[in-house]
Amino acid sequence: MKLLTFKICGLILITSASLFAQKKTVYSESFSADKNTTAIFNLENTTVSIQASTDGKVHFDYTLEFDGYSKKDIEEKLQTIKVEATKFENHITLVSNSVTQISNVTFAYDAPKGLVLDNVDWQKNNDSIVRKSRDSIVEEIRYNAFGKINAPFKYFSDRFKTTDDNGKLENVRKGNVKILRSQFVIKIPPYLQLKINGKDAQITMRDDSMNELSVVLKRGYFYAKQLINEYNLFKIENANLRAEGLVGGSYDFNNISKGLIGSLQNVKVTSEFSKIQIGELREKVSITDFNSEYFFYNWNMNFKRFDLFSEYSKIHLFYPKDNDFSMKVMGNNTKSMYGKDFEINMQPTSKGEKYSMMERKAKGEGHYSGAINFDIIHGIIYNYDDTFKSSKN
Amino acid sequence: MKQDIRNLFRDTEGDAVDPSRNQLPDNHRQAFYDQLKASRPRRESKLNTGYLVKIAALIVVFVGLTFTIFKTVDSNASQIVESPSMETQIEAIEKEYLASIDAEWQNFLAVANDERLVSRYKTKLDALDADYKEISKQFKTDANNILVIESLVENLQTRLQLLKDIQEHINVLNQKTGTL
Repeated sequence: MKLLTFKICGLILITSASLFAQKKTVYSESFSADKNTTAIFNLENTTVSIQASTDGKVHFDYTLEFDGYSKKDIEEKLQTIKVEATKFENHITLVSNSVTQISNVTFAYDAPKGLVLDNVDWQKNNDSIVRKSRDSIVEEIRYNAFGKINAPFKYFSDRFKTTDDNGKLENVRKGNVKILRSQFVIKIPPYLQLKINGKDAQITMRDDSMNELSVVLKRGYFYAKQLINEYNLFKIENANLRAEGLVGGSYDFNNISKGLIGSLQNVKVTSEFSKIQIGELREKVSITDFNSEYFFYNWNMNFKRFDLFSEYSKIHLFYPKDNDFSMKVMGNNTKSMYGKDFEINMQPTSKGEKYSMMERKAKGEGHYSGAINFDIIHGIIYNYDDTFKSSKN
Repeated sequence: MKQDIRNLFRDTEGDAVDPSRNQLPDNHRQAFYDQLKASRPRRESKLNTGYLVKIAALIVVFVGLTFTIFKTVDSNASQIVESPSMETQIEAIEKEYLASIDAEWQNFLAVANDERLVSRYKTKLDALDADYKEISKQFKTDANNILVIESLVENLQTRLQLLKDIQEHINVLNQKTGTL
């Protein structure tokens, strides 16, 4: 009798363990590449992690780990995912799509009781505005990019609750949440010229990259370390962006709601309806904007020249701290705020002509780091500076 | 010790044994069987009572569990009907947000005097609405995907926030204070 009980228990244990997490290889392929190889990745509802290849080849390795899924569920899920890579005349094409969105960690609630959106105001952020260092921005990028993965169930339970028998909210039990972990690792050599078309795609570039990148992303996110290439071309719409550093290239941002950039150097940015924090402005940066909110926290000691052309923009400006600089603000219908008590208005003009609102000449003391030029209409500038007390200097 | 077995049936005088004197009683056979039965060790029953009790207990537990599970599933099934489904919740959230977005749009039109600004906002909001419809299709396919639910809610929040932010912006610009 005891033996029989043990056998049954053992069987249940083995079956349960296999039900809790099952790893499936969705796709695995490698292609040789040389300095003339180009590639295009068409990603829809896909999450990828792009890393540097150490053997000069392009590798695609896509695995899914199912937690709490039945065998039938797994088969059905796998049927909805299509991945195929081909190589033709030194050009590699990857097509990866899924019927519905797949993140690094995707949750599905599979319990009889209803799920309740506990906290709909996920975007709410009431942090006071203070100067952040470039390092703290980089830290924030790293934490935010991977925090979701480190504590996936907490992330879920912070947002969703269920109800008990009396209709009261209670925490969702872990056993009632199906978790799908996706790991699509793509390894590329540093000389590969790469184009990415993403839709509801979550793209992470885990290593500094010198590849020539052309990226079009609609919804999802793009997280990167240093992207260094003067021919980089990005167009990101309705998505999140976090990059430790962008060096060279042109970037078009439309509705980037959570933009965090460690540093900008030699880049042209065109943006609208976005909210972007920049840890450090380095040399030769130009931003043309419509109705975004920017945070300029720090300036490199040799930023040389910074140009902002904007309409209806809200600028949080922290001045260079340790080095000399010059500044000129042109435009009309703009307010420049210095704390709560002091502000300067630049009146609108009937024909829309611009005039000088403010000019600060270099003091001629210490190291001259560069010139800040604002061409701004219908804008608001919030000045955060303890060394700058008057409008004209 | 060797002896003739025939001597055993003779009496002491050498006569043959009287058969009537040594005749077995009539019930000797029955008596023998009774004695044999009494002296034989009792054989254990193949069906142990303990086993029977355990099996009966298992059956009772199994039936009880099955009944409980069916009852729970049944009551949970009725709770699905009672508690709002995710579709219903999203519909309610959507309705609430769209009403707020519409109200904020009217407020925006009332304070904005720049046609170009209004036009760009209309284009942006239309684009976000088209996005919402696209995500809604995914939601219909996979209503339990939390990522899709988040995308829907964030889309609505973005539209509302954009309208609130631009009105606040215009209000700050229109405030009469010290001018240059």
